[in-house]
Amino acid sequence: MAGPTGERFDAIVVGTGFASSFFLHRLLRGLASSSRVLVLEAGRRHAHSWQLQHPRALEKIAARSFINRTPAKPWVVQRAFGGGSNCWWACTPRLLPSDFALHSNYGVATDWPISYDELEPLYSEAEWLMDVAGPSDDSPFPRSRPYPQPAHRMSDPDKLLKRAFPDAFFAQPTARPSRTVAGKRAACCNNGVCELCPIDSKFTVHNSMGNVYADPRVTLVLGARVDQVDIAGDRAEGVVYTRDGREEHARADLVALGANALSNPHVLLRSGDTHALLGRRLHEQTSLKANVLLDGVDNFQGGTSITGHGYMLYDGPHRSERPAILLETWNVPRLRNERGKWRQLLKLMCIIEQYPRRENRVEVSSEDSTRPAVSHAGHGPEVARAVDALQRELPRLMAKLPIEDVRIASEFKQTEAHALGTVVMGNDPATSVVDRHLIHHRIRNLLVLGGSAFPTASPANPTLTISALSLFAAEHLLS
Amino acid sequence: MTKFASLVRWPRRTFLRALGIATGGLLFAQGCREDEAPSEPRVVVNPNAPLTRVLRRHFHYLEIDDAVFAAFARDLAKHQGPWRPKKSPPPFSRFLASTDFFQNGADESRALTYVSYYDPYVSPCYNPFAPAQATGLTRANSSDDRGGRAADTAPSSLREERPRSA
Repeated sequence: MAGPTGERFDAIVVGTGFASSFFLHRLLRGLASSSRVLVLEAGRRHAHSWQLQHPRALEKIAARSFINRTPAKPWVVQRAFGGGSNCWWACTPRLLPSDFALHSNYGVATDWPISYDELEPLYSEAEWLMDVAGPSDDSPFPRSRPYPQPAHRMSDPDKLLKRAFPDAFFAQPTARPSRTVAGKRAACCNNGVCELCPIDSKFTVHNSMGNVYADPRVTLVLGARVDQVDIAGDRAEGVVYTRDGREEHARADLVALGANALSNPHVLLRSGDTHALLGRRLHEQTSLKANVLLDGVDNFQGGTSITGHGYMLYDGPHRSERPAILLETWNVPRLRNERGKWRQLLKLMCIIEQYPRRENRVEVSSEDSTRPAVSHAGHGPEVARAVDALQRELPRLMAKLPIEDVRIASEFKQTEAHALGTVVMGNDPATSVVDRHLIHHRIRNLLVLGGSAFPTASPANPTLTISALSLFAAEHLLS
Repeated sequence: MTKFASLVRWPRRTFLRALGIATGGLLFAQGCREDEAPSEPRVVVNPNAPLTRVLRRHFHYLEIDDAVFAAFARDLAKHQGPWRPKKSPPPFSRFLASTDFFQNGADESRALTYVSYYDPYVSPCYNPFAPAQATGLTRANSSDDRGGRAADTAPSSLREERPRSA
């Protein structure tokens, strides 16, 4: 199991979350049967049954994996086999085509070095690998293939929203299956606690991609914290990692860092990479909850925890002035404690796009260089403009439904669990660390996968895009 | 067979079938056992317990037998520890969802029956809010029927216009 010090592989992949698993999945399809791939995972493998018996244990393990210098702004990552798939809510929207060209279209933030059209086939492939349930014939983004599963049942408030906004409200695409996935997962039955699904229904690396790690060409080493990439000139020679307190070395022709957006830049910084943007631009979306008090309409009939996506405040010329907002409709039964109105409540999560800021960053700490140190200087001014728009527009939108009131929370949700942007991708080596294929601009046999490459954070959940980008990167390598 | 038993038959059966495919384990199935609650020993209710007093006062307009309060208090204590008035708000929603109140259309004239402790980790797939027709969806979800779309379960006021995505 353990890779002995100095052993040589064709490729080393760091991490076992979405970024690494989808990359590996595609890479293995193109590698010879004699190839050898070493996968190093800092965490341990925790079976679903173990996780049920130890609630929040993975959260505690992950919290110890980095130093948060601004605890008021928490970050959610995972340090365990399967990475973020252990705790995600399995929401799988794509980005909109315009999300890839914010600067060109609206004069704000940055363009991506890749277009929606280029990524589209990989989006489809990722959706099929995850058995996503979604609205094939009624989608906010262009599609070349239908979703593998039909959308979940909408709630009654969703149906009213669909009627009011037929071109801007859709059933949420999700890797919480609407039907049993033969041999893998039961259909979602709306338990509403998706961070740890009681019946293991949502897609996880554990329950759906175990075959990647069982491949005889793959050597998986758990509890192996990668400290740095061995770089000689403009070439990655391998990695240095620590396992059971001992320093180990492994060598390979190709190194792919696929850890989270806190660890990826940290490893590169410790490896001597001095790019001015490395570790900078740490960002994610922010969000505000809203309660819509319904009048005579019951909620919670939907088929899964989050049933709808509202794009009414998302894309359009307004993005020159304020960021996009995505509305999620929640079907988790949080009752309204009023006689006769128990179910007359619609909870919305209003997810707001944020632009990256250089001040928000990951560094190597002088106190403990083995863990990334994270600082956050707060929201940019664009968030306040989005909140103004939300307060102005949401009551107007919801007035299309029979309602009594709309109540928007005054405090932001602390985290969306989507750390992004610290090893930014781009075409210009002066303003980006990796290129459009996630290859390091200078070290051409080093890839940096995952959310760390995101130039901007659309309000859409990033996981499907992370997975599609990994497929895109692997496909390019093999071509 | 109790009313609840007939209501939960499909989710339980589907769940067990799916579980066999997905995990082969029995761990989660136990929460969906339709006879779980009746098999528990009968508990003598303390009508003056703080939880019972608070629930009875709050739901004064509903017909609730002492045994319903007792069963809920027992399960709450078993799974979360006894309710402490000064430490947490009264579990009004959880109590109602643990009865057949919503399955009976929130009909305030019907006496409540205790069904199952409402906690997804205790009773996975127990969903008192799913529409009756959702059993059709559950069947469609099962491995032996891949043809159907999600059932349109809108109330009559919504039914005439089928949403494109449902």
